[in-house]
Amino acid sequence: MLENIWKREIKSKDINSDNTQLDKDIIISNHPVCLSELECGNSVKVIKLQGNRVLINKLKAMGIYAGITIIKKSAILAKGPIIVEKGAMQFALGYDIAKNIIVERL
Amino acid sequence: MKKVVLAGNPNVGKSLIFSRITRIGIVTANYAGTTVEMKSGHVSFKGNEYEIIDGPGIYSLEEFSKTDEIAIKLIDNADIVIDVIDATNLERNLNLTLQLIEKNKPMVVCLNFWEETAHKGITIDVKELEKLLGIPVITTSALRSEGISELLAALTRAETSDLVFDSDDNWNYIGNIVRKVQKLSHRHHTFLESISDLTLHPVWGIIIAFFVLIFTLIIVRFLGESLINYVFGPFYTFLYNPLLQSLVNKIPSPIIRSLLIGNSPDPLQSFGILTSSIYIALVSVFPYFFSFYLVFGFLEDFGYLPRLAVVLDKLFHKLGLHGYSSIPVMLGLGCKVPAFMATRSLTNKREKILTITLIYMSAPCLSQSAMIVSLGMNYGAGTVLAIYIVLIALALGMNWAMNKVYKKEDTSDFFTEFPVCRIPSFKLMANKLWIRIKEYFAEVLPMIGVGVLVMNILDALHVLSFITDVIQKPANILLGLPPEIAPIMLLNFLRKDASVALLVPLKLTAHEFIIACIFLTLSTPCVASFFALFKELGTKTAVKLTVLMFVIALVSSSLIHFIFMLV
Repeated sequence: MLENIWKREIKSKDINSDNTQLDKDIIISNHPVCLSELECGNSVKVIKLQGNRVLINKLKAMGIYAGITIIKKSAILAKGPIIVEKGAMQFALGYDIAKNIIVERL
Repeated sequence: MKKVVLAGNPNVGKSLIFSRITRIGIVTANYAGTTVEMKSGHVSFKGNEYEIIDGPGIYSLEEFSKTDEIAIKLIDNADIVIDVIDATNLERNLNLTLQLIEKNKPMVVCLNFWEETAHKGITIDVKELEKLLGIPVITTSALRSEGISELLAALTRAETSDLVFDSDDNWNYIGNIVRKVQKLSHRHHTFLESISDLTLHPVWGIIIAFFVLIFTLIIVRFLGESLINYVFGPFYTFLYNPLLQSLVNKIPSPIIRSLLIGNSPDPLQSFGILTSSIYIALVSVFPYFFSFYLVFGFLEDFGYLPRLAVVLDKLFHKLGLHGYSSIPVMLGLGCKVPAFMATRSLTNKREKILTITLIYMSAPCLSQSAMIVSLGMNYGAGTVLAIYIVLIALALGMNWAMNKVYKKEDTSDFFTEFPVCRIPSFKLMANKLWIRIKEYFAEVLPMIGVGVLVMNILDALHVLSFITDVIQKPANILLGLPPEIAPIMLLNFLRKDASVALLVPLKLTAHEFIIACIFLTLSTPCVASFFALFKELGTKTAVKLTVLMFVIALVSSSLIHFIFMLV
């Protein structure tokens, strides 16, 4: 599974060439994992947001961007939304969004 | 007069502040996206006249949906902007503040929910924040009406900030501000936070959602029935009706007499303006309306609805939608009009059409449901159940077909912020219920009154008998319903609950009752929801949908009629 994420990561590098600094970070880190795969209760650092640009901007407007620390609180069964906590804020992300958020365990 | 616009993130309390300033009662709730339209009111404070404008909440000045567009336009036209901030979530809120500062408008920052900061272990240095932002900062508690006059007084000091920052690096800059002005102290998990965690738990979340939905139905039914049997029913029978009869009997003209109280002692059959319409509005429908919005208002203010949306997200995915649609669909169990309006916060047209169709078809509105259940129970629970099963099956079939037609073009996926769970304020809940009750009576009573009057006039002019002649043949052949159904089909457009109530004198069989209810539910929307439909979808789509619904109603009820004939 991790290999798959890794490959997808390399592919997406070509598409989003504006984030070269972040890509370097990923190569250094040992265990990048997507938020959907992460076990609940973990505190993690967001390394990269992938996919739909509009959505990434929307998330950024809410304060979800590369570099922040979040906690995965819960995940609704059967690939339902992922519940995440950032400071005083709690929010739900659809499974497909969470798949595109690459995080690193702290 | 200066235009003052309340801007801020969703669910920071803008509408309650608006209501406190202008004393205009509006429906508020504890979740993002309650306000979808602009509201304005006037206030004069120490010789200054202001027009206060409330709009939908936004996270940034980028447009993502129709409501964002409304909010941004309001801000562009403002003379003064009040940036309302949730003091318990300073960091996230300041992003919009910085973007507003870049608009170069005179601004005041309002730190709302100030009363909650203390027990959340948050201390904010207001003076320092004021200095860093270069604009006045006022602390308020809209819930307790604190700080409102200070906020109004600060409007004369509203300033354009001369803050300079790199707008690509907003979050870094905000981080610096927050570090300087905010201190957090450790505190324990509160009871409400534990409940909140439980509602979002993978397993418990689903169990809780199930029980909340079941309890809502039970409470609405039990409370509604009790109010009918012990309060409104006796009030009508023992107080209102005798008083009315003795008053009306003093009127010499028999025509006016029959217009007012009709010809039958049974309020559902008399067709009098002061008997039938009052009975339907007050005794048959209002108790359920009251009970539904009592429970719903509590869930809204507790902050449960977005949590339910998350748990139901998966289910709505199967319908080609997102959990976002669950709140409009739930609102639609009450009344279609606010439900249609709530679809405005959905981001694309496809989801909007699909959700509106689901709201339209899956269940009748509360008042109509009340009539179907109370009359249908005379035939047994199976009859009522059959009606709902057919409606839900049709709604799902329609949803399936529409998903084939409207292909999912963009995958704007689900994400939402959760409001903090709060014990609802009794006063606020009562206030909200009162506003809804007022709207109900202001809209429903005249509507039913006019409906009954129109029926009387049409009857007197023999128009009814003409229409009845035209419709009765097709109605009989296709639906197997008696000719008297014709005028009821017309009334259906005015009040859908009233039309079901008027089935009583027809003495239908169980099969006929099922067909009639399905036809009346689907064939036409009521006047009010018809206009809401136009407003939300535009004329072309609304007309298409209405025609399509009529065809579906006709075809499905005819089909059911034929199935019944074969059995």
